Amino acid sequence: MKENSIEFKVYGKYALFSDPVTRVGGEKFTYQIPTYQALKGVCESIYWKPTIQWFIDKVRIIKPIQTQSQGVRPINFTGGNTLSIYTYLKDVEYQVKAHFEWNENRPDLVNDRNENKHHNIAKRMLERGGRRDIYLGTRECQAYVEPCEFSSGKGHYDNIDELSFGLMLHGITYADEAVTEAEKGHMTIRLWTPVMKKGIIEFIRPEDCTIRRIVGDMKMKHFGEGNFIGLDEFTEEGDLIGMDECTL
Amino acid sequence: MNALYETYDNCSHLVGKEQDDGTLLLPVAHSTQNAQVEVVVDLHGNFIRAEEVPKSDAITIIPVTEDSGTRSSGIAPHPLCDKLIYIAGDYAMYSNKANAEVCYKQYITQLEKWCNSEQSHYKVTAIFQYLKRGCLINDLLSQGIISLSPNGLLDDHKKVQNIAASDLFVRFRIEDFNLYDEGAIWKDRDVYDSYIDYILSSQEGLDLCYVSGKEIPCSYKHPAKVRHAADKAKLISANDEYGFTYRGRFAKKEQALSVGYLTSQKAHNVLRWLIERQGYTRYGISLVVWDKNDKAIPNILDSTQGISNKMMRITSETDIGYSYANAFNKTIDSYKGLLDTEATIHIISVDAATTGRLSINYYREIKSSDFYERLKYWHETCIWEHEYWKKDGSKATYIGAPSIESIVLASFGTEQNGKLNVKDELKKATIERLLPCILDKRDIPKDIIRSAIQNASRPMAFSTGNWKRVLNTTCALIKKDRKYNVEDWNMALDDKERDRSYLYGRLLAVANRVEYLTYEKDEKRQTNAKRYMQQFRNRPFTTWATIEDNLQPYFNKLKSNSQKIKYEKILNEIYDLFDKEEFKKDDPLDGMYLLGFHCQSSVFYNKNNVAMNDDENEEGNDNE
Repeated sequence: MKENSIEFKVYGKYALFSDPVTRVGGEKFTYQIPTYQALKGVCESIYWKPTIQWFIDKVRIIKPIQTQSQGVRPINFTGGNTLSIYTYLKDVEYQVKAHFEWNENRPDLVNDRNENKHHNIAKRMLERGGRRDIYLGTRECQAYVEPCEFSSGKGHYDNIDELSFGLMLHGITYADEAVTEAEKGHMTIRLWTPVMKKGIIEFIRPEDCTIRRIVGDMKMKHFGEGNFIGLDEFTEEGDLIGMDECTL
Repeated sequence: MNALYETYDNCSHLVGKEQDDGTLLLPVAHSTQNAQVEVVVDLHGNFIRAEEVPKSDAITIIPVTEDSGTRSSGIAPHPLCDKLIYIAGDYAMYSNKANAEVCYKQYITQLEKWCNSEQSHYKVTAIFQYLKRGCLINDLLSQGIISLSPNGLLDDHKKVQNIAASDLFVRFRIEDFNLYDEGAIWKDRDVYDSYIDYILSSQEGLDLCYVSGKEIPCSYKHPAKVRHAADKAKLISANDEYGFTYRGRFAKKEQALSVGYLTSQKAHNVLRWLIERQGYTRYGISLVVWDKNDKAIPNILDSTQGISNKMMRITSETDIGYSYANAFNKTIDSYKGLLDTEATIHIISVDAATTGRLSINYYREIKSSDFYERLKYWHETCIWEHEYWKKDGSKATYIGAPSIESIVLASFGTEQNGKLNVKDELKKATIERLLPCILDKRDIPKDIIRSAIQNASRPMAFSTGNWKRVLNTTCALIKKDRKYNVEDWNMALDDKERDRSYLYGRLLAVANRVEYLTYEKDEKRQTNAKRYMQQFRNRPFTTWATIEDNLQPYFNKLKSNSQKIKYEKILNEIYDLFDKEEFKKDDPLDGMYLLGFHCQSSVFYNKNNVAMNDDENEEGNDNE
């Protein structure tokens, strides 16, 4: 399989990659840099099918890291509201390089493994700004994607040799994408210690994170009758009218 | 979190020792309480005596369990020192509190476990021996510390250090002729260690600590009281079992986060200690700047004078201006000398929107070399002449940067009862926005400058002293703003500067001066120049015509002809510098006019002061 990669820039007014230490209490405080999982989510918003799985190769921080805290009024689920202070990253821009691989946990979709098809759709969707709305970390931090060449233009940290960010969240491995037997059927938290070199953070692959914690049982999401037509659309060869009728 | 945790390890030699300034870095699994009664026993657990603890010495370090450290209601005994209801076996006989026996039972079983463990300590065992007998109340009664009311119960009307008898907190001291130290077990490091070892060995189950990345015993209860002793807000809290702060993806709080018990304890204790010792706590926010190796760091929010004074204690009060710059540089260098250039400086600011949860609203790490370079830059660029009152009551000036707080007051302050005031929320937000200006050499936000100019243009809205403060601070901001555009404005009057606003500012200063000179001794009214200042700023050309008209009588009223000639000459000099078209334009003035105004005014003022009041000299000449 060739490396089916996309390169894009993603930018927004705010971003909030909450540190789990502050997340449980509800007073969210952002990490300085995006997590692997947040960028994966951006890729999935651009284009995603259960057949594929996105991998983030690297991210480049373009703008200076600065934070801003805001008083917010979260709604209590039981009624009423509470008060909190969230600390956001302000005025962010990243360049991202990512590629997709087949999700081996979905042998039922093996016939959909058409590299060119998925790669081309992904590129087209990127040009159009993604299929779903893009956000950085949390839903209120709306962002935009544009295709761009990785490492083009100037970045604020280009001349800084090395900057480390301590231990932080890499992401969560859901049952759908679990690789090891122990983690299948579970949800797993991954931690790592990122280092930024000349403004670029090279991500390690999820399975290479050594600090992991299985936190709970989880079933794979079921795709099939009811929510996914799968490959059936291609069974009646050449029948384009039949495709239009399907509800997807 | 991680930085805090490492700081604790680096400062471990300070743990449990009270510093000169009265602050204290608590050992892990310990807390402080005010004790009212001290019970003295010997090594065999025999009662010797009990005495009241004076208030000045009341603070006692006590070991706590995870539950007792966070207890609010319900029964959760501390491991060693606690209230009478927990530690006195005969409490139930003198009280009608229903749960007294349960409390004692829980307490004594807990203490027994510690004493029977491998980590037990002989001094603690002695106390256990004594308390097992359950005669504490009796002994206190016999010592006359507490007394009974007629119905045979404890008399709460007799207070010990203002605390009712049934609520007394007790600490212990061991006195025995086999014991050579002072026997105060709340100061005994061996006892701390014994308890820490005990509690760590008794913890079960390993989990991943999100802060250190290690598999260690984890805690899901984290301490409060971070900012001050009465603070209920917790940095890490997870009480929300009904909302969706973590529920959804996670079913239980244990899934969402696990932090090591030791990590959490160390980080919280250090943060508490740092805030108490070197934090800036006001309006609910607490801001701390620290270094992992606990080296002294200047207060970044302070003015140039403040920083220099703290370290150098400038003795010669005659200093004007530049000696402060020198003193400041020396101060910074001496701070810098303490740190190696690769050290990291941490800045954290915490605030709470509700009573229960504490949030971090600012956090930065900066290399110390950068930190000092930037701090210096701030104090070299954001500067102006400031007035202050010396101890003997006379006025003096120095050149330096204003404190962050005075910037906030200058830009958003309104005067109430003679004092400048800003709403707490606005103050907090502005301080947060100004931090990057110092730490990252960012520009000062335009709205802050604009608002300061606005304020400085309204002399009628403030008392003279406050207005001068606002004006000086605003000038510092404008200078900083302009310096960025590579215009290096001197503090001294630049009589070649042809900037329109600057020249208009100078004109206004002359008008102000001329009118002021005609005042009678006790005249307190404001000059026309000041009254028209705001309008002047918006429409300088038309307003100046008015001011000039009004000025004529004052010119005639001047005490001497030479004065009149002098000021008219200055006015003409300024007119000459104007570009004709520029002069006639009626567009609003920018902040530069304040600089012009201030520079021209201080020329007058200083001449007055330094050259032995040249106005009077002139007058003298006339008389001859």
